[in-house]
Parts: sequence; structure tokens; C-alpha cells
Amino acid sequence: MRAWKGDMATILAIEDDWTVRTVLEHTLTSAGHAVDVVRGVSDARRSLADGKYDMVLLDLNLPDGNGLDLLRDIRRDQGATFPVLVLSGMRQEEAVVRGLELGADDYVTKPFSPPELLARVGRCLGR
Amino acid sequence: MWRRYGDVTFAIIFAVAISLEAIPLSFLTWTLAARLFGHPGGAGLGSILLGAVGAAAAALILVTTYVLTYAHMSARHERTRAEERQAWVGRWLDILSGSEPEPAGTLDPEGVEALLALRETLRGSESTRIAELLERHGAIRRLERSAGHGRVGGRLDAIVALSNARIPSALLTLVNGVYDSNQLISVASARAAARTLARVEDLFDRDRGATALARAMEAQELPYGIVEEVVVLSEHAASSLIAVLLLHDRPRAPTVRAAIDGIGRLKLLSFAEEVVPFLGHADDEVRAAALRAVSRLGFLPESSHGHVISALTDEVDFIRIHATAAARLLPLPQALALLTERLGDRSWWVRRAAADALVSLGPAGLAHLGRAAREHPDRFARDMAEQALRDQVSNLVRAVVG
Repeated sequence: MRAWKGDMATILAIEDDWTVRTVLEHTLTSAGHAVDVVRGVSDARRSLADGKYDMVLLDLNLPDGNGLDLLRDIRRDQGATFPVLVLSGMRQEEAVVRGLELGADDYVTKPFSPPELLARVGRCLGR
Repeated sequence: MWRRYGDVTFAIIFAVAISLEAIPLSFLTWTLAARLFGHPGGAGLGSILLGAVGAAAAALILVTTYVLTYAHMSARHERTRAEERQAWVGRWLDILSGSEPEPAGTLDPEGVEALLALRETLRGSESTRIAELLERHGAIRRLERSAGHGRVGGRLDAIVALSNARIPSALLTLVNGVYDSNQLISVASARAAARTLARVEDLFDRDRGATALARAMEAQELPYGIVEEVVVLSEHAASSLIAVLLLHDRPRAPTVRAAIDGIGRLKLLSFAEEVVPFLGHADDEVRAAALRAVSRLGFLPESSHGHVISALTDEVDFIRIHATAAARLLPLPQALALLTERLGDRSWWVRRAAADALVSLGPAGLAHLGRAAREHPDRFARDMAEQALRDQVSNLVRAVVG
């Protein structure tokens, strides 16, 4: 992983819903970030192998697997230290707690507010 | 149904295919019958058979060609529509951020679908502006019209779209839909009305909407599962809806059950006292729902203690299961004693519920389980206590080792 230097970050968004993907691309690129969007766990693993991302936005219910499993692998097996923000429709307390326990830096529930998401991304990157 | 488009083409193709089969077969049957009754004549049997087989083959080719062409064309059509919707989402985001002007006039269907998808995805000021755009461009008015008239499929599509839009002004249309004689429309309208009610900010309008929806559901005698779903979907407005459902003049047992389950699921503590009278209800299902609700609320009003204790020895197994789960909320010494006793219940499920409840009571509960595993006079109670303790150890090992 490369070190984030300031204003612009390279972000990997893992999201299967086309509307959310478009919103994320639009919101993050308009804030000056570079965004790659993938639709599932296996694509995400391939992209993460490049090691070029400053941050990951992660949905939990993905077509080919569970985002929490990916999160655990990222943190435990790959030892990655970049921030991970979970963006999920799962609002239950247990899901939020589980995500944070597995190493997510923040947890945003859908539906979401783009300005709030940008603020949380900025805070995660600034840590 | 595998088709979404082309009803007329579908009907014509199948009318032709069936005619191609039916006419030669009728002719063949007629000829065979004539021969059977000793009237040979007309064309030879061989040529008639050949004609019938040829016609069947032609019908088969026609139908297969139609199915394959339809699959190919509808896939292409869907792809094009998806691309258009995606383009519209980007365009709407530009419009919302002020970098593109708002389009004039009526929106095309993909534009409306993109707006509805965004309304589902976003919250806050963007979501409010999307609702304004939907109303300003007449999309809601058109959807309301489609929800009330036409084919069932089209009406359901419009109701689902209104459900995604959650525009308070459409609430009355959706409530009227609950009265529809078609149950599909009625149930879809109830769900959509609940989601819309959740977005009604004005308290007076919210109560009025909740009253109208509750009346409609009662008039249509919607089943328990649907009423409960509607209560849960109404989110912030659930209190208003539950109050109306419970205050209704002689509410049906499924309605009461659904309202009480809603109280528990949504953890509406302000209703804790309202649940107490239903702990002694004559209907077993209502009593069980009331016990489930106090258990989920995590709070037993003092006036409910007697009901919960007597439910622990109820004749009905599922009442005892729920009562056992709720008994963990009694004062600790009383809860420990009653739950230890329930470990010896005749039902395995009650014994399991008692063991789980004791585990939830922490060190004191675990100590009672340990004692029960050694000393309980009932062999099945000892087995259950031991099993629960073993499960606890496995959970601990899993948590530590991973």
C-alpha cells in the first residue's frame, strides 16, 4: 500500500448495486479522488493485489461472497493498514459491531448522504 | 411470467401455432372416424398424416423462433434500458450538484426510474430534492394514475415505484389501493403505504394516514404476516399505526398479534404497559405475541410479573417457551429459581429456552446452570444444563482461537 499524501486518494469501491456504484463514482471523483469500482469479492481480491489503494469502500452483501469475510482477510491475512469504510444496507446493531470489530474504520448505512460520506472518507484518510 | 413485453405478438403467435396443430388434427380425426364407420374416400390417409406432421413441425418452428427471438431482443432491450438509466443517474447527480440544468417537460421512463433508484439510495437534502423533482415533473401523478387502472402487472409496477418514491402526497392513493378486490394489489398497496407513511413528517397528517391505513387493513382483513410487515415498514410512524390498530373497535386477533409483535420488533418501550393486558388474552397466539414483545423490549412492567409467572406453567408449549425467555427479566433471585425449575420442563424447547435464559443472566445464571448440571432432580434438566455449559465453552474457544 502506498502512503496517502493529502488531497487526492485512490479508492477502491466494492459495490454490486449499479445506482450506488454510479453515486460513489460521481461523489468521490467530484471531490478529486480516483475511484475504481468492482462488483464482487473475487474482483476485489484481484484489485487489492495491486496494492495501489489508499482506502476501500466495502459493501457487505456481495453477489459472490460476504464483505465481512473479505474485511477479515484484508486485516488479518494481508495485514493491510489502509482505512476501510463499510457502506451497507444492514442497519442491525450486530452487523455494525461485527464490521467494526473486524477492523472497519467506519460504518455508513444505506441510504446515505453523499456529503456525509465524503466527510467520513476524509476523516478516515486523515487518520 | 417469463415475458414483460409484447402481449399482442405473443397471443397471435400462439393462436397461429395452435391453429396449425388443431386444423390438421381435426381433419385427421374426421378422416379416421369416417373410415372406421365404413366411408373411405377423400384424400389418402398417408397424405393427411404427412400434412398433420408437417403442420406440427411448422408450429414448433414458429414457437421456437419466437421464443429465441424474444429472448435475444428482450435481453438487448433490457441492456439498452439499463445503460439509459445509468446515464440518467449520472445526469441527475449533475443536476443535483448544480452543474447541469434541470430538464424541461415530461421525463422518459428511464429518467423516472433513475430518480426513483436515487431516492432509494440517498438520504438527506438530496433525497428531499429528488422527491421535489419527481412531483414537479408529474411522475408521481402518472404513477398514481397507473396504480389505479389497467393491467395487474402495470398496476403492481406503479405501486412498487410509488413505494420506492415514498411521497406523502401519494399516501391516499395507496391506502385506497388496499381496498382493491385483487389481493395482490391490496397487499402491495399496504406495503407501499407503510413505507410512505414512514416519510410523513407532519404529526397530524401521520396520525390521519395511520388511521386510514389501519381501517383499510381491517376492512380487507389482511393476514397477520402482512399487518406485521406493514407495522415494521412504517418505521417512525409505527407508534401511530399500532395505537390505531390496538384502539380499533374489537380488533381481530391477527391484527392485535401483529401490532404487539411490532412493538417488540421495533422496541417501542412507550407501549410496554399497553402490552400487559394482552398477556392474559384468551387467544394463545396473542398471549405468545405479548410475551415475545416484553421479552424483546427487555423490560417487564411490574404489573406483568404475575402473568409471566403463570405463563411458565401454561398448558401450551409455545406459551411456556416465550414465558421462559421473558422470565429472565424478572427480579434476579426469582428469575434464577423459576428458570432452574423450567430446566425440567417436559418440552425440550422450553428446557433449551430456560438454559439460554440462564446463560443470558451472566455469572449468576451460569452458576445455577452448573449446580443444575450436578444436582437437578430431573435427568433431562441435568443433560440440558450440561449441554448449555458445553456450548458456552465451545463459544469461548471459538472467540479466542477464531
